[in-house]
Amino acid sequence: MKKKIIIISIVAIALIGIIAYISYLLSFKDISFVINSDVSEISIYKKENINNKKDPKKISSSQTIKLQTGNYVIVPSGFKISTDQIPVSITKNVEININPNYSNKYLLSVLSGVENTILPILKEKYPETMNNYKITNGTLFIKGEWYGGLLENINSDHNSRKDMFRFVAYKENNVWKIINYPELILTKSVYKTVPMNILNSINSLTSNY
Amino acid sequence: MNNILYKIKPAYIIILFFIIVISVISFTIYQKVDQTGKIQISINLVPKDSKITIGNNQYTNGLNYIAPGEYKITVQKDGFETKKVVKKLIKDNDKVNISLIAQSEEAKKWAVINKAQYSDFENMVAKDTQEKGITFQQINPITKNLPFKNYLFSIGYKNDSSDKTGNSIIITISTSPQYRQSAISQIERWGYNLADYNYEFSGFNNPFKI
Repeated sequence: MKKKIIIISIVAIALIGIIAYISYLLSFKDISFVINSDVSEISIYKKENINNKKDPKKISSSQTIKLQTGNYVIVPSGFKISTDQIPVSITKNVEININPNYSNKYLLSVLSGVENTILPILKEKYPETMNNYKITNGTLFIKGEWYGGLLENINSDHNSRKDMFRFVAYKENNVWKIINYPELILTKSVYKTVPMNILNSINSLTSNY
Repeated sequence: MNNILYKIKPAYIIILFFIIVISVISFTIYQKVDQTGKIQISINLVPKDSKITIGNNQYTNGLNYIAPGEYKITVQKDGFETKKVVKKLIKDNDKVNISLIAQSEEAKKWAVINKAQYSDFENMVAKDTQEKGITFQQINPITKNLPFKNYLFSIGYKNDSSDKTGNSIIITISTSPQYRQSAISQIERWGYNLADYNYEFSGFNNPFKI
């Protein structure tokens, strides 16, 4: 009788062990990382390890790896790109695209070159009107393919403020195009192709006056 | 009676059953086909048996189906003043609420006896208007702050006629060029997203619009 109890107990424990092991194996998911060429490497941290940057899993090219279900934080690195943390939650096999925007530092470094290209386009499109306007507060967005700025009247000052216009330009096939025409406010019903966060950023640009 | 039932052959009962089932299915299909491309509207009339013509077709009090569009609507009944309106019926649950004023002596007597029909109608219209107001404000939360006026600028709104639902608005801003940006900043200070609305500035000509 005692022998039977022992055998049953061993079998039960073995079963529990097998089930636990299978569960552990099943908790790993296939995660396919598709990494943009601007990204030199990504570091994958468990969420609880991000503050002390402990035990990162590093990969530098697109590949599939196994990750246990849970919450992770991905930190991309690269010359041009923003290194903002990307939180992800792993619950199943999934493909994750790592394609961060360019960093503000990089976008600022190329801004003046872009403005040197855009200003002649505006002058060509609005030859007379642009005699009275200058570009201010220009900003590049996403990967530098979107540009927004203000057109301020050169005769505007504290005592005599003139209308200030906002405009948005897009680079397609390496050619910059002004979308629609400069307006006091850029609205989503008119600028349908422009991402909402870009419209909001341009609308919140303010004059120095 | 029982004898007659016993005499009916079971085959006839089965045939009858199938005829009924096929009739019900055919009627349902006909209704579905007839309602395709139409919207459900609610017609509320007082008196309820008034004759209502929408476009070239006659309808009755209650739920009806109609192709979306703008219609000339005529409601008439002997002894009552005829009403003619033009209304856009473009989405499900649009309503046509019309009550007729009694003119003849007989009609006036009817109106007194059926006072409840008029008061129910008024309550229903009031409730409908209130609900419409809430929806409009939910879609255009900025209307809570409008009209707004200070010594530099005024901000109001008007319906955007290009939107057939009647729920879109155009923000109207009246001020001198010097304070247009201040008016725009006021909308931002209220916490609204500038890109969400369309605008009309008084006395403004965009020099870049060519």
